[in-house]
Amino acid sequence: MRIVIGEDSALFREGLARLLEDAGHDVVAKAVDAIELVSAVEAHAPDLAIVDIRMPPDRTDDGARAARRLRERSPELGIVLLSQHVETRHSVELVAQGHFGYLLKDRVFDVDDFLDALRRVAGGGSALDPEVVGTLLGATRKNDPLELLTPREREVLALMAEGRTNAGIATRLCLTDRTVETHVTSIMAKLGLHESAHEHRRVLAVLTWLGVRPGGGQRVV
Amino acid sequence: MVAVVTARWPSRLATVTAAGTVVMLAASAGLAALAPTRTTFLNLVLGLAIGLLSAVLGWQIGRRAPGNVVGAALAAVGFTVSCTVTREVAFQVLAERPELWDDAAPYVALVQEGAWWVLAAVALLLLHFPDGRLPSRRWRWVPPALAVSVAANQVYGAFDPAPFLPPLEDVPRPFGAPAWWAEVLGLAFFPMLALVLASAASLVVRFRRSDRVQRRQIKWLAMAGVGITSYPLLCLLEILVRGEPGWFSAAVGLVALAGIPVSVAIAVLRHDLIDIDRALASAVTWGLVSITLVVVYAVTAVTAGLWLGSDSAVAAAAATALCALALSPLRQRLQRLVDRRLYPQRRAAFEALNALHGEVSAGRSRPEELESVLRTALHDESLGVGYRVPGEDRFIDAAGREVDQTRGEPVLLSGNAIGLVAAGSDEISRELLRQVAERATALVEIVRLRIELAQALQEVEASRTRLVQIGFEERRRLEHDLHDGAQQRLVSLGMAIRLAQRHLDDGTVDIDALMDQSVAELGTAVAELRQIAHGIRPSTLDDGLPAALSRLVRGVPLEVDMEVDADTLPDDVATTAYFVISEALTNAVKHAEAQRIGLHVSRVDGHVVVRVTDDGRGGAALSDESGIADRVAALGGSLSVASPRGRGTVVEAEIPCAS
Repeated sequence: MRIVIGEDSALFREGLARLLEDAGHDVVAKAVDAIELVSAVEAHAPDLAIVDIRMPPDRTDDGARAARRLRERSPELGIVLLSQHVETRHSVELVAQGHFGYLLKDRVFDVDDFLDALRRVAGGGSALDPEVVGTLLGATRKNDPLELLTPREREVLALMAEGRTNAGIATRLCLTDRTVETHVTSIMAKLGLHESAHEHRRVLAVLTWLGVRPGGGQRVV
Repeated sequence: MVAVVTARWPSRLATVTAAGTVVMLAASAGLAALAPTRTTFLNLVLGLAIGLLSAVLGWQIGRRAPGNVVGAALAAVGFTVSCTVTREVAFQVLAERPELWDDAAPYVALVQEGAWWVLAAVALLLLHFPDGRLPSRRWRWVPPALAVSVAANQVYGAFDPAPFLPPLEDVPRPFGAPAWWAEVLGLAFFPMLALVLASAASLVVRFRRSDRVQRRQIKWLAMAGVGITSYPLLCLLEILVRGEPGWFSAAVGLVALAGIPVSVAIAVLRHDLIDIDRALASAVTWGLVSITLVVVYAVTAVTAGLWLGSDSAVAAAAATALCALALSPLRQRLQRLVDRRLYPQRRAAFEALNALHGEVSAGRSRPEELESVLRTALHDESLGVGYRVPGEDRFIDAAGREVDQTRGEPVLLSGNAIGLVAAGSDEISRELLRQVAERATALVEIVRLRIELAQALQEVEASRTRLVQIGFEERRRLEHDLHDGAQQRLVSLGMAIRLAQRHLDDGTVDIDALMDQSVAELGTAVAELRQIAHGIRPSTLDDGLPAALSRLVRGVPLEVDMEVDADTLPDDVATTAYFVISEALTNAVKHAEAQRIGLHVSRVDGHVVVRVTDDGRGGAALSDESGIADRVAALGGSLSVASPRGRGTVVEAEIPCAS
């Protein structure tokens, strides 16, 4: 993959670049602020942009705003936002269009999982940080249908919301693909959702069910 | 510039006339020595009381209001009175010397009707009062006509066949029967009387047309008029009690007469001496009360006398008791009636105040409406009611605007000015304002307390908001510091270690160097965390404030005289004191260009007093954003900054501290 990194901390930026190059990816540009990031993406047209949310010049949510601008110009560009802390605003808003991931920075420690998420996003899928999903699932609802799910099904639902494929879920939970499919069918039935082959659609459905309207802010959480 | 030339002749005329009065009175005194009778004595007293007083006051008016004819007119009254007195005394002397009668008869005849000149002088005074000008040009023929008719009357008096007045009724008439022309002159008496009455009426005309000041002046004269009318009443009362008029009514009558020149003088020279509206209203009230009492007394005494026999002590006692009973309610009722006619402003203001008191007590109105209520009652749209709020020298109105004090009268509460009532126009007298201020004390105090309370609440609210804001800002800063500092460093470190791990096999990693680098990074992260924690609460405070301050001062690149006498303080007090000192030191080092810093902490009467002084350039001010003042205020303390330009800065905080 051809990747552009937008990250102001030199230590993290160089480490991440080394990690990606070791994994066989091509880091075509390393931007240190939001403005440089946008021009680098336009110049190199990469498959994926990895963007720190908090970056100069304002050090607030410059990275997220740059991501939104990039998304408008190239709907097919994979974008992964990195953050130091959980916040659902940008993540849920951007996840609607697919090709999008939102992860905490320390997810890098699990290198393989991190690289897998990058691959998913570049391929048109989603990657939502487990912390974000946890927050969404943790929100209390009246007559919560989540109560109907078995603990295992809840685990599967969480991984679905993170944007993982059935195969990914199976690996993660050390189950067979067939078992995962059974769980997914059962979950969709219990929550009254329609099954979809496409993982991204599935994420959308789950998020919508969770009371989050992707692309239009949140109702619950 | 046009010079305003004031005519000098009225002043000179007044002086000359006054001097003439003194000469005439001296002459009458000399004559009186020749005929020391009771009548002579009475005449002399009258001459001195009215003649001399009028002359002296007329002369004074002439001196102090040189262009005003009133001075000369008043002196003329004095002169004519003194002439009449001299004539009377001379008649007394003549009455005892019949050998002189033949020679004196023509002169006696000539001055027989001379007393009318007194009336003419009074008429002239009334015509020109109070500004020395006639009411209008249409009146300009009155004074000469008056002089001509009085003179004609006097000439006729000389030929009048009737006997001379006592004591000269036996002196023969010198000129025999009057000729036809003298008879015609006698008719001048009627126009003369009409002209005098017209002159009196001119005052009414003038009053209608005049401005506030002139009205007040005319009221002064009316006041004297009330005094004069009381004389016959007192005579009547004395006749009722003793059977004949006595010295009391005579004295009052004399004082009332003397009151006329005094009123004129005050009206012209010092018309704002007292609130004449009020005085007049009171005088009229008391006059009416007296009349009513006399009537009640008379009726009771006569009726009771018919039953019990005249001279009955019981009748007198009954009459007295009835009068005493009637007195108080009668006076109050009359006062209200008279006020309504003569003193509408005062009455309106008092009624409005009473009504507002009632409405406020009943909870239907707010005391802040005081100003608008008084504006309506006194017809003064720019009237202002100001309140004094502690810590302020000026007076502010209910909306917080400053009130102009120029025409203000203070509202006093146990000797302290708690507010003021200020008139917008000079239509309202000082005296009336004083009375309104006095009656409004309770309302003003209520409003003042309410303003004070509102201000205090507002300040508390603002302080609380600032504290919350500051708390929020601090949290944000902490969050930033944590995310951008220690956390970032730890994440990077984790990634570096993971990366190294992945390269362990290919031998490209120097484990030793990696460990060194990692431990160094960890050390930095720990230091950053410690610094952040210190910002939340300086951990050096664990060893007490003095120790923490010693550590703090060590980092200050200036000479610091430290004197700290506060060992065991509650944690919140110590922390707040620490932040005050830290902020003051920072300011002294960064901005004040100071050479030397003084740092004193002491305990005084359950307070910790923190004082940081420097010898820098001053001009520092307390900013709201610092939050220090709010922190101190939150503990019930106070913070002050004195920083005159060029003379250093003193930051002082007093924090209550129970232990």
